[in-house]
Amino acid sequence: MTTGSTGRRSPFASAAIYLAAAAIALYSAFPIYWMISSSLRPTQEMLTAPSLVPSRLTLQYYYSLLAQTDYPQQFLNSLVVALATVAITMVLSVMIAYGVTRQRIRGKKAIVAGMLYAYMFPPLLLAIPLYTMFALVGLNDTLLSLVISHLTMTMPLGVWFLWGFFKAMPFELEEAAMVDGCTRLGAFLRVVLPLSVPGLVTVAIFAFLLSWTDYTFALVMIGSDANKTVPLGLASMIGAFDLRWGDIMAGSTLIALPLFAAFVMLSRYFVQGLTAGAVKG
Amino acid sequence: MAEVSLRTIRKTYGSVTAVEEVSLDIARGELIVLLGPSGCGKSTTLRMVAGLETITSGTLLIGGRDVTSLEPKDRDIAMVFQNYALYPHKTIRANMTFGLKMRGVEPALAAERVEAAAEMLGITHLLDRKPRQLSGGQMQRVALGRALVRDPAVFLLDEPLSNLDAKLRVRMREEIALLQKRIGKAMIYVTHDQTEAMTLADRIVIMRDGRVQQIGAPLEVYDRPQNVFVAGFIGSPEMNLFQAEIAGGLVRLDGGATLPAPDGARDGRVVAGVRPEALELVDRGVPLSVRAVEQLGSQTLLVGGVGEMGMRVMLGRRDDIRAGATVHVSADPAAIHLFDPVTEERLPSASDAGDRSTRA
Repeated sequence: MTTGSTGRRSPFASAAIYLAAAAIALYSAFPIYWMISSSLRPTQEMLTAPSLVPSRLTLQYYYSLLAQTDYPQQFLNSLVVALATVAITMVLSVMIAYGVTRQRIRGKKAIVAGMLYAYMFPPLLLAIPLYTMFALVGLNDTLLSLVISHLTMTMPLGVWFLWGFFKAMPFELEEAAMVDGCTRLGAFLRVVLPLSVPGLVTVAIFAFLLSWTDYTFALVMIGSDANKTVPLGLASMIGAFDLRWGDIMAGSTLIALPLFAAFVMLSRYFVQGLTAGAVKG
Repeated sequence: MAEVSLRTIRKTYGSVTAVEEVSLDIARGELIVLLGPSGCGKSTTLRMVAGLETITSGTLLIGGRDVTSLEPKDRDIAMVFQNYALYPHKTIRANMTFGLKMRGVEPALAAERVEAAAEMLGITHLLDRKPRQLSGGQMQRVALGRALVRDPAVFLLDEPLSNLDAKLRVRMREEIALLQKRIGKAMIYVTHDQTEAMTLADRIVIMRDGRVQQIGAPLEVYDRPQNVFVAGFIGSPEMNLFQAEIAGGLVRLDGGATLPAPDGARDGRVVAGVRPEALELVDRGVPLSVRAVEQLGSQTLLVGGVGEMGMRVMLGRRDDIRAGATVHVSADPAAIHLFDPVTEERLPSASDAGDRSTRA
C-alpha cells in the first residue's frame, strides 16, 4: 500500500477499518480474558452473576489445582513431550529440507509431496494404526510414543516450511562462504542458519503449539494418569458429576502461559518467518 | 610457469556433456575472459576452477599445485558472483573480513587489509552498513573488495556486471581492468557480453555447446575468427555472412552480387563474411537497398538487403542516406573472411599467412 492511497482514504473509511480491527481483536481476545478472569473469580460469583470485571479476586483454583491434582505432573509431561517434539522436529526437518533444496536427490519432489500428503491425514486416522504399532513394540502409554505421534504433524510442517525458506536463499551465499574458506557444513552453520532464524523460530513455535495443545493423539496413546498431558488432564476434570469450571479455567490459563511467553519473546522473528514463507510458498 | 592450468577438463552430467576437454594455461597477471552464449559451459568451467562443480576428468593446477579434487577453500581462489552473494546478516566490514577470519588471519592484520581494499575501491564510508543499504554498484564493489582482501592466486568473476545498468557497467568494467593491472594477479572473467570481453581481456576464450571455439587476443579473434560461430559472435553489429561461391577471383554471393575475393582463395562453395565496418560506399559494387538507417552519433548504420539476404553497413556519419535508397558497397578483399560451408571452419587466406609470419 502506498502512502498516497492512505492519504486519500476518507475519515469514514479509516474509522470503518479501525472499527473492524477492534471487533476482530475483541472477538479473539475476549475468550482469553474471560478464561483468565474466570480462573480468578470466586465460585459463587462465577455461577450466579458473572460480571465483566470480577469484584473479588482469588487464587483458590490455582492452589487446589497445583496442590490437589495431578496437574503439575501433567504440566511436566506436556513440557517434556513438547520440547522433545520441537527438538527432534528442528533437527530432522532442517536436515531434510536442506537436503532436498541443495542436493541432487532422486525423487526429492516425492519426498516433499509425500510429507505434505501425510500432513493432510486427520490425526485420528493416524493415531489408531500408530497405537497398534506402539503396542506391538511395547511403547504404548509412554511419553515417547506421544512424541513420535506428534512428529507426524510437526515434521511435514517443518520440512515444508523450511523447504520454501531454504529454496528462497541464494545458493551463491553458501558458495561464497565455501570459497571464503568454510566447509559445506561450516557454510551452513555460519551463513544459512543465521539467516534462517525467522523460519526456524516459526517452525519451533508451530511445532510447540501443535504438540502442546494436542488432545487426539494423547487420548489414544496415553492410558495411565501418570503419563497424561495437560489437555487430557483438563478434559478428565469434566467429570460425570461435577464440573469444576474454576479449576479448568485456571488450568487453561496455565496452558496458555508458555505459548504467550514464546509469542511475546519471538514475535519479531515469527512475523518475518510467516511473511517469508507466504511470499515463497 | 602458468598460474592456472586447465588440462583436458571435462564435465558431464550423466550422459550430457556440459564442458568438453578445455585446455588452457593462464599466466600470472593475465585476464582471461570466457565468452559465449548462455548454456555454452563458460560458467561451468569457471565453477570447476572454483571447486563448486566437480571435475569429471582432467587436471587443474593452480600455482603449480594439483587442486583437481580439493575443496574450494583449499584452492587459493576468490570469486565474485553475479548476484554479489554478500552475507546479508553481516556488515560490509564483516563481509570482507569473513574470508580472512576463516583462514586464521590475525584480526589486526585482517582489519588493515580490509581498510586498504576499501580505500582502493572507495567504499570506506560503507564499511559499517549492511548489504541491503547499498546500491547495486556499491554491492559490486564490496564483492570485489571481499575477493581482493584475500589476495588469492586467481580471481574468478562470474558475470559480475550483468546486474548493473549500462552506464555503471561501463564504469565498473574500466575499474576492474585498472584494478587487475594494479594487482597483477591472474583473473578469469565469465561474460556473455562480447564488448566486455573485447575491452577487458588479454585473451578471450570463446565457447559454444561446451566446446572451446577459439582462444586468442581480442583483435586476433576479431581479425581472424576461427569459424562461422566466432565470426558472428565477436563484433557489434555482427558480421554479415553470406552463402557464396568463389570463381575467377570473385566472391559471387548467392543472388548475384559480387565482391572481390581475397588473395589465394580457391574456387568453390564458401561462407563469406564481411564486417559491417569493413564495407564502404563505392560507385559500382554490391547494390544494397536500404531498409533502415540507424544514427549512432559518430557513425551511421545502414540496415538493408542484397536480394533476399540481409546486410548491415557501418559508415562514418552520413546524414544524406534515407531508407528506401539504394547504395553500392564493397570491401577490401583482405577484409573478407571465407569459411568452409560444411565444417564452418575458417579457410586459410594469403593475408592470414602474412599476419602469422609478422606475429612470429
